[in-house]
Amino acid sequence: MSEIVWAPDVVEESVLLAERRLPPADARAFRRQRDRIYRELEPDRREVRFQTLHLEWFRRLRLAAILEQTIEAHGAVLQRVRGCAVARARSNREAGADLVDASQAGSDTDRRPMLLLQVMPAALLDPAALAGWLQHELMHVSDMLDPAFGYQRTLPSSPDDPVAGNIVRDRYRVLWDVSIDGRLARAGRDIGAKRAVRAFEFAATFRMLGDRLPEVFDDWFDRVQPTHGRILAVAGNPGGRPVDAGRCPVCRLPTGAPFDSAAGLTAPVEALVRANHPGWRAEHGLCLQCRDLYEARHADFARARGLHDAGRLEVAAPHPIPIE
Amino acid sequence: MPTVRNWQLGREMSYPYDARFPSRQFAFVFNINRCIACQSCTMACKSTWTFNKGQEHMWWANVETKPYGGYPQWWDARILARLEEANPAGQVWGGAPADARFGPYGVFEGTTIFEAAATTLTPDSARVLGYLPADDEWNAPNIYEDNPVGKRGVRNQLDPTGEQLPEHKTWFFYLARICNHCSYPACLAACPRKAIYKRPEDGIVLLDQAECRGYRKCVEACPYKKSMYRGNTRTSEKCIACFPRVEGTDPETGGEPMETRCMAACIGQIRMQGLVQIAADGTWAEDRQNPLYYLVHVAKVALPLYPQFGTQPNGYYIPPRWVPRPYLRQMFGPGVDQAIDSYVNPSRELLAVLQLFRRSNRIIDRYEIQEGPKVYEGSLRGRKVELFNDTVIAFGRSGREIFRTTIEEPIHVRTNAHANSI
Ligand code: SF4
Ligand code: SF4
Ligand code: SF4
Ligand SMILES: [Zn+2]
Repeated sequence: MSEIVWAPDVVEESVLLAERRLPPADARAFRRQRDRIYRELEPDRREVRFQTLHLEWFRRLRLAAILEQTIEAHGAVLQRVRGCAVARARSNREAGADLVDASQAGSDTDRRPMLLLQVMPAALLDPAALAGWLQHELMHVSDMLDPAFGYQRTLPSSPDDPVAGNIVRDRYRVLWDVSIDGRLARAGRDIGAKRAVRAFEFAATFRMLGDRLPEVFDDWFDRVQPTHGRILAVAGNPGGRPVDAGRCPVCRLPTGAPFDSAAGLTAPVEALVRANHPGWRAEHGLCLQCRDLYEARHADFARARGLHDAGRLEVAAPHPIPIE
Repeated sequence: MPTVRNWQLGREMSYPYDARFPSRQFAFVFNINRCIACQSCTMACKSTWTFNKGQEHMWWANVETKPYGGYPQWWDARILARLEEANPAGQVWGGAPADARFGPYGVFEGTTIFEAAATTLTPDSARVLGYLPADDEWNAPNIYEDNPVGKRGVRNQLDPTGEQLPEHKTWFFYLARICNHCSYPACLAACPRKAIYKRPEDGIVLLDQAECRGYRKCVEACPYKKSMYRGNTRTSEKCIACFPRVEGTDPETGGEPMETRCMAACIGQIRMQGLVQIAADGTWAEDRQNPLYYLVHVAKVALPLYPQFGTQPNGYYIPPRWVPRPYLRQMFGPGVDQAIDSYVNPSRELLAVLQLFRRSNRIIDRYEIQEGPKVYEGSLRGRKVELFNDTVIAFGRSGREIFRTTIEEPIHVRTNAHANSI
């Protein structure tokens, strides 16, 4: 792989942040050089001079060191990419590693992809956190490059249900992250308190697993050797129940997820669904969104009724409400 | 370090420069009770001054949803926390409110950002206690829009009786903000190149683009975070108080001082801006018939934003009457109870002055009231209420009448020539 290409705004911002920690004499020297560039009024020449100065100090302050060392330690990844570029991330959400197709990068002979790292410049000033973050991100990339993993960029989606596509993508991301930190831990790497963080995310995303949650999490963290297909299978159908690709009997929207059994509905919520859909029976089930909706509506009605009974709300609810 | 007199804090404080006062001071009053977060002000400023490359993240005027929102995110919580660390449990007010233009809220016994710098920072950067927001904190001008607070300690649930007045337990409000053109600007104090200056004629604080070298000390120092760095010019920029309008040199003004873009655009009619006269000692010179003077010093219904920072900001707010008092006292100081009391039970004169908001885009220098007939008598929350249909007349700097309006909303009956048109 050729050398790492740093975006000028990452270089500049990290140097400006590092300046605050410099011994006063060094900071003054940096400012003396930088202040002079403002006298250059020709925009292109001025830009070049700023970039040159910042790069010089970037090297001098060794702000690239951790990132370059960590990447170099990943020989297997390096062999499969054509080069690496570092760009500025504007938020933690935006930060991460990805592969850019050779075709997008405009190469004719070398078909290998480019490695693109998006980092917040401030991250370069915190070596320990940066190294930990990078080893996680590079494992994503190493999975993507590994034929045995079988990564595919686009996940299956349904044209009439974009929401389902987003849900699957979220679950995919969480599972993949769990398996990466799990594998790093198994390999004896220091991942700090990551196990608890991942367990929390996992629990928030896979609530439908109920009692089986801890067991499934442990399995993915401690044992599973993931592949794209395996992650997708769980992300698409976490409960492992037979997939009914039909429409929800209540809202009649297509649903990727199996219908939730209505068993968990309380009697008044069930009655509220029936009041709106007279032909519906609990055995028909309803989608998760409908279930959330009717539970929320029931809570609202109950509250409105409470205020009305207490004499603090003039208008009663617009139609008869079955509440306990 | 020199000492200066801060009338909002009722005491002297240290400041890196000697006090120098303008003859008039740019100032404004925002009535939070009326803001609907339509963001017309935000967009008026953006489309006038910050629509260029490199200014994408800049919102000199912004409206944020309190208590969770903020632009940049958590700006007030972060600086309040740093002050608290510098002076644990000491950020309190004492003394009695003075019946004068110096110390009307009592005496602030805590530490300002200038004083905290001296005790907590290394000498080199010791002028102002502040912090530099990270990139992502500037990303959202109204993050947590309309997110209310529920009962204390109860998550994901609103208080079932939270809407009861006098104070809601389920609440939020909109805080409209621009640069406060402070009397003791932190941005100015922190600039190592003296690129920031305060104009002697109107107290507007400007940042000289030819002098700025992008040190970002002002961004770090301004406790209100109203100075912002621009990556492509490598200089900082801030609100310029639309000075060509305030001066009356903008062609649109026709030579008569006009309120700023963000004021003029205000749909909720919450904003009034003017120029107040400053006395030799830095307090507001008595000017009984100036509407801003009346609201701040006579009715005492409008209060400075976070006066405890110590910059003596020139933006004043009529606090939202439904918000818990401890929160408001932290934000506007101890004058909150009296301000809300005057606003909720307005005097005959206050009611008239409140009608002056946004009837014109001209700067009002002076008002007069002509008494009108009694139009209502009744009682509200156990107090007797009388309404008079007084007429209030606004005059400009030149003494010319700008407009007159009445307490009762004027009714216009349209002829039925075009019955269904708007
Ligand atoms: S609000 Fe901030 S930027 Fe504006 S004058 Fe005050 S310290 Fe300076
Ligand atoms: S006074 Fe002018 S420059 Fe300042 S925030 Fe308002 S519109 Fe923007
Ligand atoms: S224009 Fe007025 S009402 Fe609208 S958000 Fe701005 S301050 Fe509030
Ligand atoms: Zn449904």
